[in-house]
This record gives sequence, structure tokens and C-alpha cells, in this order.
Amino acid sequence: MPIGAIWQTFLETPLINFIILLARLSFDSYGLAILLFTVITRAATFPLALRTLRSMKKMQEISPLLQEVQKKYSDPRRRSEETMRIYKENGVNPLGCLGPQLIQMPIFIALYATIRLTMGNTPEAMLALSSRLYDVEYIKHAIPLSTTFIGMDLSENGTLPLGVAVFAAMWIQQRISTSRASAPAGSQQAAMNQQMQWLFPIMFGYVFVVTLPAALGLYWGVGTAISVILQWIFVGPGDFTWSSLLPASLRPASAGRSGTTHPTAQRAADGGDTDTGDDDDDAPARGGGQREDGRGGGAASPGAAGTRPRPRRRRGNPRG
Amino acid sequence: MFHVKHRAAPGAPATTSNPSDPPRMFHVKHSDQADDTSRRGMFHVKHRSFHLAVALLAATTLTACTGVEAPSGWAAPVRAGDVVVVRSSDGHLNGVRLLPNNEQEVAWSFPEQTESSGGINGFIRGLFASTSSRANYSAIYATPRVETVDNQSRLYVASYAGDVAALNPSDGKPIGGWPERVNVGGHVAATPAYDGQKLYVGTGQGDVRAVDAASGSISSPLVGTEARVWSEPLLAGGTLYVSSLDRTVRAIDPTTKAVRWTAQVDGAVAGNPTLAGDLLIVPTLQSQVVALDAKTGERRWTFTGDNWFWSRPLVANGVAYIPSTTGTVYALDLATGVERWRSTTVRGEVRTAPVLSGGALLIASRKGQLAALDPATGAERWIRQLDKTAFLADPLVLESGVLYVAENGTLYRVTAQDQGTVDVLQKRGS
Repeated sequence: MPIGAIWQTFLETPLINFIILLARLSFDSYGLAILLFTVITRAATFPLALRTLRSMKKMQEISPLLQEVQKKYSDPRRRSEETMRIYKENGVNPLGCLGPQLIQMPIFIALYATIRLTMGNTPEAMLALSSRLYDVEYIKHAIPLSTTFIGMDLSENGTLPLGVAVFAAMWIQQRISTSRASAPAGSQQAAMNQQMQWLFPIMFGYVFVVTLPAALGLYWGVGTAISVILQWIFVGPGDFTWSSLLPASLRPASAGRSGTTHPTAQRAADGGDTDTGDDDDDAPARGGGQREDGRGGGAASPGAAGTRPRPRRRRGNPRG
Repeated sequence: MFHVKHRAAPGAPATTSNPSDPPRMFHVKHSDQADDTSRRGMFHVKHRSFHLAVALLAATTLTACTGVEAPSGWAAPVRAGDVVVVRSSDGHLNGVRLLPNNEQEVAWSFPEQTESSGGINGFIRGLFASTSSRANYSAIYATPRVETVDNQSRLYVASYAGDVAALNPSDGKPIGGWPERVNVGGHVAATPAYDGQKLYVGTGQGDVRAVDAASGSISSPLVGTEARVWSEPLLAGGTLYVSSLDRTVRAIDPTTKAVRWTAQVDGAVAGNPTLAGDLLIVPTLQSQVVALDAKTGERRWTFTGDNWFWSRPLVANGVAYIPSTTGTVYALDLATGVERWRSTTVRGEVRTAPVLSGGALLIASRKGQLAALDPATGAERWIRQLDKTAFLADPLVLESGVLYVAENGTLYRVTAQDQGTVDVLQKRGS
């Protein structure tokens, strides 16, 4: 049996029939079916997601130690050795979150294919559906599904509000995932995180939502929202606070502090100033950290949330 | 946006960037690392460009792999003067001259291909196509109509994007005076009806719009259904029959917009109905064929098959021939709906209309099968399996044979007699 046939027979086709069954059970509403489908599939893949989240949490916990290594050693080889030692001592696999993600990838691709096919937004797509439905009258005669949901036609291109909602959900997810504490400030990773925080939400908010049928955007948005909730519960929001979304001048004085600073991180922050005076390595790291905490871009503002003044440095890293 | 600039530490020697340096995208400037700036900057540039490329690749791959099936269209070929108008593989319409020796010659193409539709440019244009204000003829399902208006032959084309064009059939150029863009406000997947003055266009918005054939002006909706109109509106005896995916058939007076009757047919109607005398034969996605009284909408009979019915029923000699999306072909008694015979010869979804030619019933499927059946018994006369070919468009019956256009744009001329012939019409010079 060719791989394509196996894929269709054992993954896509059952999912197609399942989502149509859900639609029938949801008063023939395709929108409600997608919501149910998203919740069920997220629940089904939760064990994998949990492994990823736990791995992320561990990475966040040892992040201060990694930052110290970044500061302490200018020799790349030594840095690498020390980093690996920390990983080993703490039982962290830096690629630990990758495995579960990779396992989930085929499932999510199948889910998207399922939504694409069941939507039947073009005549060809609907015709192709006829050979994919089980010979069960209850399912077979559910076609076409009602694609109108909360004022949107799910078979048409996504609307701007949906795009904005997906953008917001993804932005928060990226912001939590790439918590400031999770990457050494000023490092390449921190800079990359900063880019990704905007790049992914913009790309997905536009490509996946505005240029593709709204059903895919709805699935993606709800799925992301569920991921954010799970991440918030099991990993925590990192140094993200809602008040950080406000302009600096409107933030409360206490805002910006991490809501869930891990003890390890705190310890590192308190006593972690082990700088050896390697300014070449330090200066950009500090500068980067300060810029990121300012969140307005450019130079740090003295009153920026989360900026902890440090006596020896004009531009101290708030996380140590 | 991606320019990240780190300020110099206090006391560090100030540096300035060399004005002669070319501007670099994603440049990360470490002004306190004068000696190291170039090397590091380059490294960062490479690294970030790599991540950016990965992100873009991921998005485009996911979009491509999991995106939505793009409409490609299945407009049937139609004769227009000395050319046959056929849908090409890229979704355009070609005016084709049929030549001896199974050759063809493209006389014109619509729309004129002035820009490349492939490569990265095509991809980027595709991303923004939904927001384009230009007419879009990239997918055409509706069979073009050839009509005479003001003593002038015109070819009317309605695209899936809802744009309607009036062309000169001899050269494929837009008729003078036709507005630059006529859009009916919804996807068009069915051939419009024509009453001598107006085209009646069913849309994906669930309505039918009348387009003035001379001026291109569009009326307010004739009828509002609750679902997409994917089947051809039928005009006969001053009544417009509109079937839609909301499992309803409506008979409308096109001049007053009055609804004469409404009939529920249980299943969504995506295929084209056929009018046979006073019977309206309607294929449905409820695996049923329903015969309605064309005057009252009363149901005369219902036949249940093995799968959806999407193709237009063929009525001849008191028999209605209709294939299902499983490939099973049914012959039904027109008066009673009783099955006379069924054939399971053909495999694959059949969306194309069956036709009678050379004393045989020709059927073409989405899996590339062409079959000739005995119309009296359903017995197989011959069958051909064409590789990598899908038939979705209705055929055109010509004196020289039956013309099929495959999904990939290949033209086939089929003769049904004896063991049958299936010839590919090659482009001259190819």
C-alpha cells in the first residue's frame, strides 16, 4: 500500500468523517464542529504537549545559569562545554521539546487537510469529498455543512478581526515561550526571539487567516489560545505581565516584575554577578537586555517596567 | 524593523559606521566592538536570514501542504464561430481551431497572458489576489455562452471570482463598451441562463443576479437563497429554475422576481438539472434523483442511488441517464423513475454529463476512464483508462466526434463507434 493511501485511509479519512459527525452533532454548524474538533485534538495530543511544556519549563529554570556561562566565558568552546555540563547536571535535553513537536507535526498536517477537505469551499474540493465519506447516511448526507459562524463565512477568506485575534493569540504565545529569562539577554537567541515574536504572528495572522478560508484561521486561533492557557498553567507566563502591554508611562510602578520568577532564576539574579570583566562579551549582552525590557525599542527608559537598577552598571539586566 | 542597535557602553570608544558600507538588512551593530563588528554583523546577518528563511519556508510549506484546494474550474468546451473555446491547464480560455490530423491551433487566449503566473512572482501575487481590484479569470466553471446581441456575436465568460466579460469570439478581445469590470459579488460556479437580453448568474452568495447583456449593468438580486448556487439556473417558458445547496429548488418569474413555487429536495443540489417536458430532473447530494413537476414543483418521483449525483441527467427516448459519484450509471424510466438498468463499469466520481454519440452512451470519470455503454442495456461496449487524466468538464458533441477537455487541459476527440477511438489533439508544431 503506498504511503499516500495509508495516510489517507488511516489518518485523513477517519478525521474527515469524524469532523463531519461532529458537525452533525453540533446542529450542522461547521464552526462549532471546528471548536469541538480543536478541543478534542488538543486533549488527545496533550501528553505530548505536556512533555514539551515541561521541557520548556526546565529550560527556563536553568536559563540564569546559562546566562552566567555566557557572561563568564568568552571562549566559544569553553562556553559550549559549560553549557552542556549544565544541561547534563540538570537532566535537560536541549532538544527535548523537539521530539514531541515532531511527532505532532503529521497529526496537525492531517488536521489541516481534514479541515480543507471538509470545508468543500470549491466545487472540486466538495466533489473529492464524495469518495472520502463512509457509507453512513448520517454522515454522507450532512454535506454541505453550514459554513456561517459568528458572522463569518468559514469558506471565504478570513476576516481582519479574525486575523487580529490570531495575531494576538500567537503574539502572547510567542511572548510567553520566549520569556526574557529563557534566553541570555543580548544573545543571538534573544534577538531571534524578539524577531520571531513579531514575525510569526504577522505571517500566520496574514497568510493563514486573511489569505485562506476562515475555517483554518479559526482552528489555528482556537488551538493557539488553548496552547497559551496550557502553557500558562503548566509553565507559567515567565516574565510576561498584562501591564507590560501598556505604554511605559501608564504601567504601575510594580508592574513588569516576573509573576513567576523561579527560585533558581532569583538566586542567579541575586548572586549571579560573576562578571570577570570581559567587557567585549558583556556590553552587548547588557545592552540587549536593557533594550528588550524597555519594549519600546531603542534605549531603555529609566522607568521601564521590570528594569532593576544596578549600582555598578548603568544598564543592568533586570533578570541578572 | 529588524535593525538591532546596541549602544556603546559608557567609556567604551565611540565608533561610527563607515558611510561607504552598503546598507545591510538585519544588520546588528555592536558599536562597542569596532574590530569585531564586521565579522559579527555578517554572522548575525547570516544567522537571522537563516531563521527568517526557515520561518518563511515553514509558513509557505504549511500553506502549500495544508492550504485550501485552489479552484481550477471545469468549464465545458463550446463552439464559437470557427473556434472551439476550451479551458486550458492554467485556467485560461483558449479559442482553438481544430485541424486535420488530430491537430489544434490556439487562435487566442483569454485573458491575455501578459505576466508570468508562475514562480515567486506568481506566488506573491496569489497571496494578494484576494485583495486585488482587478478582474480575476483564473478559474472558470461556467460554460461560456455564445449569444447574439445587437447583431453581434458575443462570448460571455463568468469566472469563479464573479467577474463577467463579453468577448469577441473571433479574437477573444473584450467587446468595446463593456465595462472594465463587471462583478456579480460572489463566486460563480454555474453557467448563466440567458433570455435574449439578460444573463442570469447564480452566485456563491446564494443569489441570482441579472446582468444586462448589452451594457453589463447588474440588477439587484433576483432571489436570495440560504446557500451557494452551484447549479445552472434554467430558463424555460418564462420561468427561471434555481437550485442551490440549501436543498431547495425555486421557480421564479425573472421579470417580477415573484417566486412561483419552492420545492424541498432533501439533498443539496450541486449538479445541473434537466428539463424534460414538464419534468424537472434534479440530481442531489442526498444520493437521490428527484423529478419535479415544472409547473407546480410537486414531486413526481424520487430515485435513490449509491452515492451523490452531481452530473446533469441526459434524457433521451423516455429514459433519464445519470451517473453517480461512485461511477455507477443509472438508466431511469422518465415517467416513473423506475430503474431500467445500472452499470458499474466505470470507476471514479463522474461529474461530466453523459452524452449519446454513435449509438453509445459515453461516460467520463474523474479517474480518467472513458466508457461507451449500450444505452438500451447498459452493457459495456468499450472502456479506456487514460493515465494521469481527470475528466470533470462536460463534453461537446461535434460532427467529428465528442470533445473532452481533461483537467490538465488536454483535448481528446472520442468517437464511439465500434471499438471506439480516443485521440489526443496535439498543438500544431508541438
